[in-house]
Amino acid sequence: MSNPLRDMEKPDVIFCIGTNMTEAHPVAATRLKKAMRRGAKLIVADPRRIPLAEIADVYLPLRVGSDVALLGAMAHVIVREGLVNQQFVAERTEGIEALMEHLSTFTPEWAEEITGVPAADIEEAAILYGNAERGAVYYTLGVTEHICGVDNVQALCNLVLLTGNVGREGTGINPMRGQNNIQGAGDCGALPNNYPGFQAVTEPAHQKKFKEAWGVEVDIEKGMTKVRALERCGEKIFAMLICGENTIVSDPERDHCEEALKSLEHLVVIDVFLTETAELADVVLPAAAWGEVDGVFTNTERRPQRVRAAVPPQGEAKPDWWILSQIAKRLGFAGFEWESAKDVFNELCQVSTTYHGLDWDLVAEGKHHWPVPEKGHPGTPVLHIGEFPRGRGLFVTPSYRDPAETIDDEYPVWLTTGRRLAHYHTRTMTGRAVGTQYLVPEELVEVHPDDVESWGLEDDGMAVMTSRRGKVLVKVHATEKSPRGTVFCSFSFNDVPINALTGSGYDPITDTAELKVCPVRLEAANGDS
Amino acid sequence: MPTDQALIDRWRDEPAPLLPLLHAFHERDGYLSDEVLRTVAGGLRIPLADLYGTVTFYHHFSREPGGRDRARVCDGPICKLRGCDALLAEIDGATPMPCAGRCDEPVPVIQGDRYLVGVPGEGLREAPTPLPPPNPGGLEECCFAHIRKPDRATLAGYRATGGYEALTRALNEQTPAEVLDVVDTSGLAGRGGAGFPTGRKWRAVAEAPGGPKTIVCNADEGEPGCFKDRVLMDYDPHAVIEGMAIAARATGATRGFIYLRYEYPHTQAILERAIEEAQEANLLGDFQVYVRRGAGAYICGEETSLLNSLEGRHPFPRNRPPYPVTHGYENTPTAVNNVETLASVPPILARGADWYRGLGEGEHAGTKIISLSGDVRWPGNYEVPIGFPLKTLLFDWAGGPEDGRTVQAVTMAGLSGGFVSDLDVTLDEPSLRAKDSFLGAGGVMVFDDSRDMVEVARQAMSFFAHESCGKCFPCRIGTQRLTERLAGEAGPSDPEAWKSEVHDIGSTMAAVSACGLGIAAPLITESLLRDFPEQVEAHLK
Amino acid sequence: MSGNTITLDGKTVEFAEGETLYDVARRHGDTVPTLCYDDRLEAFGACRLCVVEVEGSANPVASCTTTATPGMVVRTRTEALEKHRKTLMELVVSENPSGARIDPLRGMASQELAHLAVRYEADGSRFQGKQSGRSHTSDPNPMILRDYDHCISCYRCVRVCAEQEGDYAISVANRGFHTQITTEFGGFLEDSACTFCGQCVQTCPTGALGDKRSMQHQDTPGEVERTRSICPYCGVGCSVDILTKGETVVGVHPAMDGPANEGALCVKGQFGWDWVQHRDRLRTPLVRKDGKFVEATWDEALDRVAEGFAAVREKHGRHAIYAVASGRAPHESAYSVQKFIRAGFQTNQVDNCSRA
Repeated sequence: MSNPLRDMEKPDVIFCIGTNMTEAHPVAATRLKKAMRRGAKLIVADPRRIPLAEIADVYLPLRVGSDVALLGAMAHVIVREGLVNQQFVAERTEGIEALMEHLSTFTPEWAEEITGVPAADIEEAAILYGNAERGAVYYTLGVTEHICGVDNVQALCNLVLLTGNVGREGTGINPMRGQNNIQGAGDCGALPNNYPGFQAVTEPAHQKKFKEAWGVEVDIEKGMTKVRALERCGEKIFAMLICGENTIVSDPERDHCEEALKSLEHLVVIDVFLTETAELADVVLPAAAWGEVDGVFTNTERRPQRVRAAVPPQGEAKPDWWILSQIAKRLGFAGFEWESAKDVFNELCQVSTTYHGLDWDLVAEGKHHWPVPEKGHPGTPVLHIGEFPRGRGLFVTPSYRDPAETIDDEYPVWLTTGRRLAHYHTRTMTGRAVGTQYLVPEELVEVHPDDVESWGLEDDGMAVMTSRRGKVLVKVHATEKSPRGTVFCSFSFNDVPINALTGSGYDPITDTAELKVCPVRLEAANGDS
Repeated sequence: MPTDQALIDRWRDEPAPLLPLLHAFHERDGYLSDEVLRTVAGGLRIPLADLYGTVTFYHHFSREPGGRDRARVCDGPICKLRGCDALLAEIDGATPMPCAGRCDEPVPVIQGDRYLVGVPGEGLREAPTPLPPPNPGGLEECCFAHIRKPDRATLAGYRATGGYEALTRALNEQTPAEVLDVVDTSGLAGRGGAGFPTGRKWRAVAEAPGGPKTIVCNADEGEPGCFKDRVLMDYDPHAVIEGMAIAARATGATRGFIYLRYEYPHTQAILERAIEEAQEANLLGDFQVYVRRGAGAYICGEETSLLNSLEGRHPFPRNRPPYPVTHGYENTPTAVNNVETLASVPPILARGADWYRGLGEGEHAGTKIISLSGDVRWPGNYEVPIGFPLKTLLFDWAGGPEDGRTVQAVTMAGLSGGFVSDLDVTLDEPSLRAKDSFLGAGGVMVFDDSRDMVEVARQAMSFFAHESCGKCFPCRIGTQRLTERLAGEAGPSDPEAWKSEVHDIGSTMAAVSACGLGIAAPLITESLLRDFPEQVEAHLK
Repeated sequence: MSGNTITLDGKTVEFAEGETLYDVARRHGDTVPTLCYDDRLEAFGACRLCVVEVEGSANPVASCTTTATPGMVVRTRTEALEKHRKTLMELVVSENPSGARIDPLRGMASQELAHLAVRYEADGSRFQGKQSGRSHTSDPNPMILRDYDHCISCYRCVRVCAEQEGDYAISVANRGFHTQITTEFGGFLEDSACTFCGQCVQTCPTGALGDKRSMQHQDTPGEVERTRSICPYCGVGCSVDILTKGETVVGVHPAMDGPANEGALCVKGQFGWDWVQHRDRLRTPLVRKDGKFVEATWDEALDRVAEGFAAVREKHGRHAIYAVASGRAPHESAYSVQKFIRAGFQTNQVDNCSRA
């Protein structure tokens, strides 16, 4: 996020796109609702009538995967209505000329054709955001989990740059990170292209730094993304260590995933439960869980905070860092002689740039937002004040592209996937918590009541949902949350493996799967299916 | 029959839409169903739980099919004396309602849109609001000067004696400051009970930043024993509207609401007709006036509860400051004035501040309408000079009690002023405050020596308990505990312990309650303990 | 600013613009009692316990709704005030006589009534009468107990639901002594707009609302201890206190001073902690032998892990080894995984689970 969470109470216009925030980031959403109590206006763009849509001032129910068209048309209206922040554009951006040329064709009427959102509503939203004193954009995987995820983000950035809604309190462009420490995993260098602190592995200076820090030779090429690695299992990749991820349930193309892991010669899984993925391993190592380990999580606003052990681990479970250090020792690797989580974290701070000014004791109260480049630095709650990382903000103008697969006679329905409030990922935790499991005990495919009728389904009846890659049996729930022609499922339930259907395509730049769009067909299930 | 959507569309973009929309559905269906509440919540974007809770707050919204048209029979203090219990038993499906403001001619019964009067054994009949009797002392009046003339409620009738000339002059010849000055010097003060100087209130609204500014006419005449606003609105509606328009001129307000109590259904039509006439005759300029009907809640006569009710919120009183003059309707500057106050304004502007001041006795300025009821021969509304002797009103004007009876006590301010048994007082705040009471809205109920004062007190406290909003602790629990004690349902049997509990509850309620209801309610028990100790002792035996 | 002073119980004290008398008094260590106050909510002025005397004001005023103005002379604990407070407490206790015996595991604020009852010696012997509560313990959800026999109608639950959570799931039905906390149409929480964030439970000053998950452990021996941590769910990073008795996790409380959440939590963070000591937890290493998992010692398992990696490196080269770090485990996990791959095998074949 460019701005801290507390800023969420301060915008006067909020634009949420592709974020079901009240379910996926409920506490962040409470802050937006507080802003609304104070009079802020809310624009929501989402194919589904999510809870945020119910409280929105302007709701834009776009067709799945049509974000670029919607955002392009909003930019068009902002320019047409003279709402461009000329001073900001002149001082802080470049490339506006190319954008202007492009935008002329992105009329709201053109976008209505593609997105299904009435042109007048697009105009209303654009004018509202364009007139904002403090406009803030929030988005999540609904923007990024597309083949055009990068394009979507760029189209959003154009709105932000045109109106100068960045680098100030209560503004910004704010992706909400999904998992508790997904930001931290990236910060720590668990990425094929970056060392800790987002230092590129292909940069000779960084290679030198880590060679010296770790006292070993380092690779000078980027590694593969996980998506590619799973594609190459059995031909290029032969051993895998999976730590705390239930890959075969959470990743697209489940059958392919399972095949891939089975083709490995050596699979080690570190986890707290015997997950569906762990079932495929050669060795499963019991990890100490939350509540049992000391450590640091970094949240979506780039704030490292300490987690603490309150009880001893169950059975013989051990912290992950201890397990890695023991494996390393047996393989003869040096530099893993840590005695505590503190040792590990302090080593991270030494080699990182973003954490360089932090240490174990300094994060005890969670007061800093990274980057904290040196000791004594107060941290950086708001990014992009005065300057962007590349200097000037660049307008890039993506063109609209159809999703990797579009609906046709055989697969006439859009399936989109996401989260539910009560469950977290593949339910390894929430499925074993009495309260959350009570609220949502089973997966349901959400279908508009009219579609339930016209497709010959029954509310609460079973349906077979088929994509080009697979089929699942799932119970039908009739609800106006789904628009006509689009259905929704979460991927949380192993017995309704929605990711057996998904996997139509990946963003060419990030390798992020298009989990938000998958053409399917639904048929009533007979007793024997 | 209008569709859901038609009703939503009719009201959604109107100011203060919730109450009229609920009434529209209530009228259409005869009750408010779950489905209707869902529709209204969606249509007005109100959280459903809030709407449900708020609907249950009002006495008269029915949630049962057919509920709206079932008879509601007044069981106020005077109707209790006039056989309301028998009437309740006579009418199929009838339920009681708190004092419905017709103590001069009991017992009022509301059945759907019909406003009836019943006498046990004689059935129900339609009867117009009684007119005030001619002034028995032949004194000059302010509000009632022309009210007895036929056709006074029509525009022509009102204009026949110079109606709307004060407004026209205020709009065309006077500055707002000049209007304010006249009202200020007249000494006019709030006639709804609080007695705040009207000129000062208006000046505060005029000077408050922000807008649009609003005039609210408080016509939620819920105090038991008060029925003066009803007669003004029924027979002289244009005086109220002209008063509002003058207030708007003085303060810069552009919109006005008349918040009318549920129990005066016929009055709504009279007011709306009068507003229409005045607008058609182009008398009000840009000032828009809307009538909003309450739904049965005494607390909505408290100005901040009233504002919450208008806004569609739960009608709890607000914390003050800020006051309505700066943060009133939808947080904008608002003058909330009583019907009688507003009706006094046109004559004051027409005849001058000095004329009005001179109507009072001695140093007191102006007049007050007293709603007199109970054990007197001629109950009714009497406009008296402020400072007028109570005994003259009771015995000379209203004929005193039946032969052979003496007056045991009167209530003041309806019920809120408690009992006064020393009748040597004048009708003004200093005199009454010296007796630990107050004039308030001017309701005086008379109880002769045949009445059980503990029972009268129990009814009064039971009314306050029924009407306590439930927000502040001392009032919510205190009114209940006092009622239980007066009813003999709970509490110590030892007289000293009983009195100590009743007194402790009362003094804490009076000192720390959040609004006037809880502060005033214990005047009933305190005056009972003071004036009728032997009846209390008897009750405890 | 320096001119902003009031006289508080005879002492001259400074106040900040907009500060209420309650704030000022509390900041100066005064324990003005209250039952309807929650720092995070708009002052409501319902319980009237916090009344103070202000010179020039006929009646005492609620300190929580009265803003300090220069020169005010304020008394917070006169005999008259304490008498009113005692009467108020006796009235409150009269409709909730068993409120003094509530297990603290019901919720964070659940002892407030009990503490004040002791302070004002309100034992339920005065002002006896009808009870106002109508319990709703039939609500079948396994998270929030609705034991309204203990409800004192302070509306903190209703207000926190509206002001903090923005869900507006509960409200106030009826009026006066018959007031009830309700959902739409008086139904169960799960059929309402409730999202089970538990904010109402944690602000309830009597335990009328209780955390049913925690209450399972009412009879677990031991004192409740608290450990500050961060919620294990989404990326917001809410601060929590993990409650333990001995070696058993017995609950979670939101941290009012948590920078990301300021006291808020959602259903997962508040009620979704019982997996930690669930019977399904992996407790020993498992090693596959003849196609089946068998329990192993750490030494056996680690040897097998190391041998497996060494063999693949031998046979297919170092780039044939890949690691996926967790987005849920702490930094120390991700850092050690990537270092293991980079420094151990000299390859960059590492990623995390952010692309799914």
